[in-house]
Parts: sequence; structure tokens; C-alpha cells
Amino acid sequence: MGESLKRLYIFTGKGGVGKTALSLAFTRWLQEQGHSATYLTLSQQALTDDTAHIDELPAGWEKVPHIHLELEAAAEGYITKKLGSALLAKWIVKTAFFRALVNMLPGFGYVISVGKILEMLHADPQLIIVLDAPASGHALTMMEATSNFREIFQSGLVFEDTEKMLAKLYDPQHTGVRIMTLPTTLAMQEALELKEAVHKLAPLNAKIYLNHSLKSWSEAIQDAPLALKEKLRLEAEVMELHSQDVAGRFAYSAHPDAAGMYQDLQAALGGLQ
Amino acid sequence: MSLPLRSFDLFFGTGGVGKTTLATARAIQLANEGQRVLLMTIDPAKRLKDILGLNDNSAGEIAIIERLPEVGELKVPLHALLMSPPRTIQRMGEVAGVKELSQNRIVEVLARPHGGMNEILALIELQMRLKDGNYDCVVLDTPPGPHFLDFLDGLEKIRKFFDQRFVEIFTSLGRRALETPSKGLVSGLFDKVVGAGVNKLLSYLQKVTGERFVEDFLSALEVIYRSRSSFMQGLAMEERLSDPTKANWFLVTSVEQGKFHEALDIQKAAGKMHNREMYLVLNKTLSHELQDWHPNAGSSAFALRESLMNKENLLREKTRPHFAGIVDFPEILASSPTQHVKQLAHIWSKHAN
Repeated sequence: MGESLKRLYIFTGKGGVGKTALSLAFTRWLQEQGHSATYLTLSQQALTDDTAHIDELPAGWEKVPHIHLELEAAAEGYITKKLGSALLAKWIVKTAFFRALVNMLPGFGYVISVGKILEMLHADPQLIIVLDAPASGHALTMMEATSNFREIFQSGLVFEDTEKMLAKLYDPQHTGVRIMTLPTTLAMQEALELKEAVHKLAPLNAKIYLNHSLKSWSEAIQDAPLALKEKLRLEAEVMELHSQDVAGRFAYSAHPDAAGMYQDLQAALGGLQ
Repeated sequence: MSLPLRSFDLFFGTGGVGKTTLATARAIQLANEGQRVLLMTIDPAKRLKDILGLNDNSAGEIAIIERLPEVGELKVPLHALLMSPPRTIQRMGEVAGVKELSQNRIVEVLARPHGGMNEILALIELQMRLKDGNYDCVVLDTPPGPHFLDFLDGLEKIRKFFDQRFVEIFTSLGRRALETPSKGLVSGLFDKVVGAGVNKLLSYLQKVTGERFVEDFLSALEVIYRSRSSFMQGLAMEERLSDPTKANWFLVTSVEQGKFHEALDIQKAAGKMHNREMYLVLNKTLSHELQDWHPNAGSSAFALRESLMNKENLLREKTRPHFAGIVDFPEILASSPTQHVKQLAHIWSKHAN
């Protein structure tokens, strides 16, 4: 620890590593520490997909403050602010031209979403946002989008805004990238590749965390089938090779419910700061 | 289960479930059975590139793999292609005789590895490769995550893109405009756009995005439109990939992940769009091993076993009715990546026969 809190935490990593549960638990933990924090997810498809599926929070986490950021609403809000007319903005986002633009340039949607997030942080200086970001590759798309579009636009209001956005988004004091992975050699290598890719993009130090760790189950596994013993051994191997790259470990939780899981995770959550 | 041989094996997944590794193992198994196989993959992890002896310099070119470490010589050489979106764009431009395609600033940014056009370009690349090569089977590893639907959607997007207002604008411009240098077209296009009644929109947009952008975007539209034959040819792929007698669809998920909701969502969406069956590939199963473990009730070992078993059983129970079959891959414990792939290829061969 010893590090000051960031304003924006981007939780990423390959799918199925418990990213959602960990980012929800971290948000709840921040709240319990007396901070004003919210969990946030994005939907990219809102503009293009009529049947856009709005994720609900997994059962048991409903009390965690959460925001589901809709692209269309974010785009409308942005254009309203820029042109000073809600009516115009409403019309623009509904036009075929605008939809085609977003269809063709998916990164454009990310720029709008990231812009909205930074705006929320600016409007409420106490707020901390925990972003449950898309899986690895898409998270990079998201983080890259702002600089890509800065290059594309070159002038105009968005350009000026992307300048400001990048200054915040890529500021290590402001933004923290948290990569969740599993305690296996392959997953660890992928996490390291992602960390490197993030670093190439911005001077952000992405921290790697191992989830579903079996270490605290060592005793129970003594008489377990070979597959579990091997998993435990491989985890030790990963730790031996990469101990300096691992910022924290979260034990496998046998609790199927959110409350039990939170209890299991609680003590280690501070390490995500 | 006996998996049929088809012209295409498509791998989808919720991301991070071992999809690319399983697709690679499948390609190796097929090549070892004497099939001429093309493996196409997008943005694989470095270790997979290492296994196949691919590197970023060879991206966009087919690598011919005759032997693999620890696997040995393959019965038939395996063709592997690491997608390179910029190379695909370049080739499209060459084919269509539109060299500006790869020079347009917007197109260039979009074609970057994370630029957002990967899905569409993968389909076009596949179409171009099939024209050149003679393959018994193409193993296609689609981009990860629930966004894989974008990939299937890619063709629909192309269709919509060329179907909508732009086509009207461009066709109304007529041949003359399309043959004039692009600068002339852009200003000509503005006139037409004014005529089409979207002038207000463009002027507002210009205010937000800058004048240069609107011009660049319109010229991007122009070069893309002039290369539309490549895009449109990609449409022919849709039918072939959707035909159940021509393609196996594998939805990969892992027990560890236990996200059956997500898997079912994908299955439902794909089923709705293409009305076809798919196999569920269940990676990292543990239940066969756990079955013979009987720790004392109340012990922590008991809690661990129950939790792991329940997770896997729930996944099977919820997904079984929705798939043509479940293809099991027990957790592979080899720490060397090549051993790992070799063992997976062996399991594929058992499922195939």
C-alpha cells in the first residue's frame, strides 16, 4: 500500500477470472472505508443493437452503488453540452449518419464513454470510479481509442477534449489499471503481455493480481486428487517465477453467495488500492 | 461423441477460456489426420505464436508448419495465418485498384490491432485466402469476448453500411464523381449531402469533430465505397459459415469460468441469427477426478470439493439442453505450452473418433 487512492480504477484481464466480483467487492470495500465510490460498466452496443443486453448486477451485490453507462445517452449528453441544445443532440444521435459513424468507428463510442467517466469524476471531486472494463483486448481498444481519435480529429471540440482526457486517463496519479488473472503459467504470461501493452500506451503501472488462489487451501488439498495437487504446485511455480510481478492474491472462495465471497475477500481488498 | 469433419471449424468464446489454444490444437489434430488445414487466428498470446513459430513480422502471411516441437512432423503441413488488419486493407486496396484505401488516415487508424475493424477484416481475409488456397478445413479463431457477435454481425454491418443513405449519395453522384480525384469528390459530395438534407447535421458534426475530420470521414467513405467489391465478396462467406453441413461451431467456455449465463446468451443470440446448432466445448473440467475424492463431511476439503463439483455440475445442467453436444477437455497440467497443446490435440482426436 502506501500509495494514494486513484480516482479511476480500470479492472481488466481475461474473461472469467472473477473481474466483476472483485471490482464489486473493491467498490464495497472503498465505501466501507468511508469513500464515495461507484462500480461502473459500459455498454458499447446501445446505439447499434436494438436488443442491447443490459447487464444486471450478479445476485447479492445489488447494494453496491453502480452505474451502467449507456453509449447513446452518453453521446447525447456530450453533444448537448457542446452544441448547447438537447433537442439537436437527440436528433443527431438518432440519424442514420451518426449511427453509421459509430458502427464504422467503434472506438468512437469508447471515446464518448471515457469522456463521460472523466466528466463525472470532474463534477464530483470525491468520487472514485471502479470500472469493470471489457476483457483484455477490448480494454486496450478502449484505452487506445482516445489517442487514436485525437489523431483522427486533429481539430474541433472533440480534439480539444481528447487532449484533456488523455492528460487524465494516462496520468498514473489519477488512473490505476488492475489486471486480474489466474495462478497458472499461461494466464500469468497473458497478464504480463497485457501489462506491457498498457505500459507502451501510457506511463501507467498496471498491477497484476491472482484470483482463485488455492494457497490457503493447501491443507485441504493434501489428500485431494492429483489434478488439484498439481494446480497448487503450479501456483507455487508461478509465484516463484513471478513473485515481483504479483501485487496481490485472492483465495478461491467456496461460498456460492456474494455475502460469503465478500467475507472471504475482504481482508485482501485493500491491496487493490 | 464423434465430431463430423466440416469445411470450417469456428471457435467462439467468452474470452480467456483457452479458445485460441483449443483451436490451435484442433488444427494440429486435423493436420495430423491428413487434412489440409488453414488456421486463422487474431491476436493470439505470444506463447502460441512461439509454439507455431510465428512472429509479428510474419503477420498477414501464411506460415507453413511442417513440424512442431514435441509433436513432431505433421502428416500434412499446417498453414497458419496470424491476422494483420493493415495487410488485409492493403490487399483489398490492391484487388480493388484503390491504393488510397491504405493511405486514408481514418482507415489506417481503424486497421490497427485494436482499432475496431478486426472482425470485418477477418472475414474478408478469409474470403481472399479461400480463393488462393485449397483447404479441406479452415479453423477460425474468432476475436474473444462476448463481442464475438460483432464478428458474425460484421457482414450485416457491411450490408447495412452500403445499403443505407451512403449508397444513395454515392450512386446519385454518378460515375463521373467517382472517377474524379478524391478532393473534387469530397467537395462534390458536400453539395450532394447538402441536397440530401443532412447539411445541418454535417455542420453541427463539424463543429464538434473539426472540419478536417468530416472531410477525412467522407473521403474514407469514398475509398471504402470504391473498394466495396472486397467487402461485398465477404458476404458470400456468411452463407458458407452458417451452413450446418459446411461448418462446425464450437462455443468454448471453461469450468473455472462457470459463466453459463454468458455462454447461453451467446448461444441464444447466435441461434437467433443463424438458426443452427453448436457444440459446447467445456474446458478445464475437474469432475472426473473429483468423483473419487471423499473427504470427511465438515472438513475444509469437503467444502472445497462440494464447491468445485457444484460449479461444474451446474454448468453442465444449464447448458446441456441447448447444445448439440458437450465436448470435454479435462484440465491439462503440463506447464510447457507445447506439451499442453499436444495433449489437447490428443483429446480432440479421441472426440473425433
